[in-house]
Amino acid sequence: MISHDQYLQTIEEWKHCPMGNYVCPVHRATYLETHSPRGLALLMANIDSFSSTEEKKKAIERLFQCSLCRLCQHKSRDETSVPDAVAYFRWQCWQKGEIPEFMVWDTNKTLGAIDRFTLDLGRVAQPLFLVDPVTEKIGGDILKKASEKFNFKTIVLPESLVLLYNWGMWEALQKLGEKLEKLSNVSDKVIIETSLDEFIIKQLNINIEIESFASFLESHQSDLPRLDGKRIVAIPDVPEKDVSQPQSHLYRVLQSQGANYYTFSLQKTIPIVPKEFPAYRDTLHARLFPSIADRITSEVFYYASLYDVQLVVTESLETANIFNKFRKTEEIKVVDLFDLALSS
Amino acid sequence: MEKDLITLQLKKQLEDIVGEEWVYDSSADNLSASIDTWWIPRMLLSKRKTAPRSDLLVFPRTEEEISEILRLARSYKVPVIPRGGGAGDIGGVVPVNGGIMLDLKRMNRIVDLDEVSHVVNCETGMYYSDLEQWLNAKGYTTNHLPASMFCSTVGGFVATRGSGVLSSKYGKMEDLIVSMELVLPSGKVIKTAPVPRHSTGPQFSYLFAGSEGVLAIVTKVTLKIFDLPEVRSFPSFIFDSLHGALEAGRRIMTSGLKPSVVRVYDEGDARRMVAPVLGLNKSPKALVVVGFDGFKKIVDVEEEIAKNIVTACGGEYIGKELGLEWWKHRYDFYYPPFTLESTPYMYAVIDTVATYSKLEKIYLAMKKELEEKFKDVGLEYIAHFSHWYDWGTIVYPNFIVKNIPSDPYEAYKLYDDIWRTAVKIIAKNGGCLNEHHGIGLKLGKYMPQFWKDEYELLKLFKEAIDPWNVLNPGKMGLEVSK
Repeated sequence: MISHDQYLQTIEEWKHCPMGNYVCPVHRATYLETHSPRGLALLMANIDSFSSTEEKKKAIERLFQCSLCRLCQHKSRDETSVPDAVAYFRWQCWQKGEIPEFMVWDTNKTLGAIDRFTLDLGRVAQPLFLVDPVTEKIGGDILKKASEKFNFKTIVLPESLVLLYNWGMWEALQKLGEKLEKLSNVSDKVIIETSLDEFIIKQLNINIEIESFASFLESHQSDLPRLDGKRIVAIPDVPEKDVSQPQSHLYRVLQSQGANYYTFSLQKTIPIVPKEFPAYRDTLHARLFPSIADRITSEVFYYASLYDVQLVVTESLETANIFNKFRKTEEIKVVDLFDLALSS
Repeated sequence: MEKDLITLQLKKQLEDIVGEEWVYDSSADNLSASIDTWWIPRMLLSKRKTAPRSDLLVFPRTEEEISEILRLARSYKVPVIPRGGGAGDIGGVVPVNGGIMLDLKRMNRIVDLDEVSHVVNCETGMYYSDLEQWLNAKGYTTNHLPASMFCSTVGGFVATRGSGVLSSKYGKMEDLIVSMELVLPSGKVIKTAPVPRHSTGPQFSYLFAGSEGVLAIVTKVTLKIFDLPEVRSFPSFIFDSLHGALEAGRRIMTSGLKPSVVRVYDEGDARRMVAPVLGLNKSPKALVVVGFDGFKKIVDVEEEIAKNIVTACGGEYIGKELGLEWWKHRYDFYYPPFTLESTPYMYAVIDTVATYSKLEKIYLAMKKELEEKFKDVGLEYIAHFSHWYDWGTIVYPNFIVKNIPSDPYEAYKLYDDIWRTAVKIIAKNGGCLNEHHGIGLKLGKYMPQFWKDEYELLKLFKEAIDPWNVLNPGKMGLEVSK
């Protein structure tokens, strides 16, 4: 979690700056300024200035509707990040008891599950694969096949790292992090589902080496299907700093398989689509705000069709799952990285 | 307007028009929608003061819905303020009397691409970058590429006659407009002539482009598009005098060459804005970037001629790398931490357009007087010269004040004093206030001074088209209320 000073700096830098608004999927779904990075920063800066409790509640609700997809983050040229400021804000709300009514979270249940979580495995020769419980729930069979194909030992985490971070459950996340620190005693290689999970682990400053599944697949390219000539949009969990120079493992995996991955260029000869698509990877967000999820999905497929996209590849299974649940057209195929890794 | 019976009734009626999920009455939503990037309202908020805000925020989807909303607004005598990206710096969306904030971002679809005619028709609520990037994927561009394309809507540029960085060759937004569809305050939906060049009477698109939502709500536009160029090239030069750099720019533009970009940075702007982004480690008195695009053979020839012109004026050619870096990073200047909007300082752009014979005089007079008069508050005046034409160009100065009075009214008075001083200099030296940011609420009071008889004409148009004063009252120096 960012420090209080970083939080203040972030809202100071973004509360007047609209340059991140156009990528924000929630803003583009509702068109509300209060959902945009600038609007969120302005709300955080002025949260104590609302004259009535009711109005303040409404403002806090808006801050709990950000999906923390991080698309706006890569627009910043320095280290400030509105999503991290929002996560910090939510953490503060938990501490003050100012949580919106729609937020149903049994913190005792979460803490209990983390307490019971053990890693008494002894030393194993296989790579360990840490799996989000949400992913396990919606894609258990796929994960089983992946673990067989790539010889993982799968460990299902007691709670989603993304949910804990996004919704401000920082203490619980730290507690889980302390347990995960022991993983280096268990295996030489620890893999985690996505780049976002990897990012969150890094926030914990714990002493383990970890890599994302996409990174792992870079060294297993011969096991993956060719994608020659396919018009693909890649949706990494943590967006690119600069879409003109894709550096993420997901992009590199797709590129190595011959996909016409889309990138930004003003050169006519290069396949282009500079459109940023959100990794909408928060099942709880989609459950709490189905109309936003529905509109985000519609927007993604509208633009994908405008760009004649044939395949959307998401880094996370949850993103693909949400898109598949809310989509109204079947014309464009959506697969996640597991689908891709398991297809021949 | 308090949240009384009338507001509740109006809200319900608006919901009946656009759907319940597209009308918002909360303070947070209306407050955020009621300010743009103009420094004054944002300063007030940061000092825990209030700023004007709308009562109801509404997102229509069609022209018919807008017509209905205007009918309601007229009957209730409630103002309607059209809104795009909220990226302007002139208070164009500030609802001086509250009312209905009509956000157009839900009208955001591409309607038609006519590749034969090289025109695209789209709704005006779409973020401009969505349009431009989609066209790029098809091999086209509008060549309207301002930094604000990432936060402004198509309609926002039409409303203010915006300029992009390539305006020297491709023109301003009004030059790209082929035709438009709009809703008048009466609710009538009209389309302008299908072509921009004709002699069947006046070209009405020119009346509505730049009218900042006070005369009509433009809902669709057909814009010219161009093939993406084969090459872009950006030779750069440094000078030991600003005068030489300005003269070089003038000679290029009046020589018959067609550069897409001429950009002259003064010493302060090169140091403060360019160096941190591009890593420039020299401290020239002026930095010049010239851009050419199109077929390589033509670009090579144009570039050679331009180089000769610039070196004859005292410029030192420093290669194309810096210019290319400028092109690649030209939007970085507007993101945190580089943008002035990310600083706690008082700032504003006083862009001024003038013919060549007057321009340098205006720049020098403004710099001297502002820096001397506001020395005590540490005013810094930096400028670049961009958007060059064959008759003149603009000086794009920023003033930056770090020592801001803590009292909001004292801060406002200082801000106002700086503007008054600058405007006086511009008027005295034959310049014109503002090339592409618009007038809004911020500069409305100067309109009679600059426009003189034309201002009376604008008032006549307003009275004829919007006798109810329902559309965006108080902007462009027009009446706040009837």
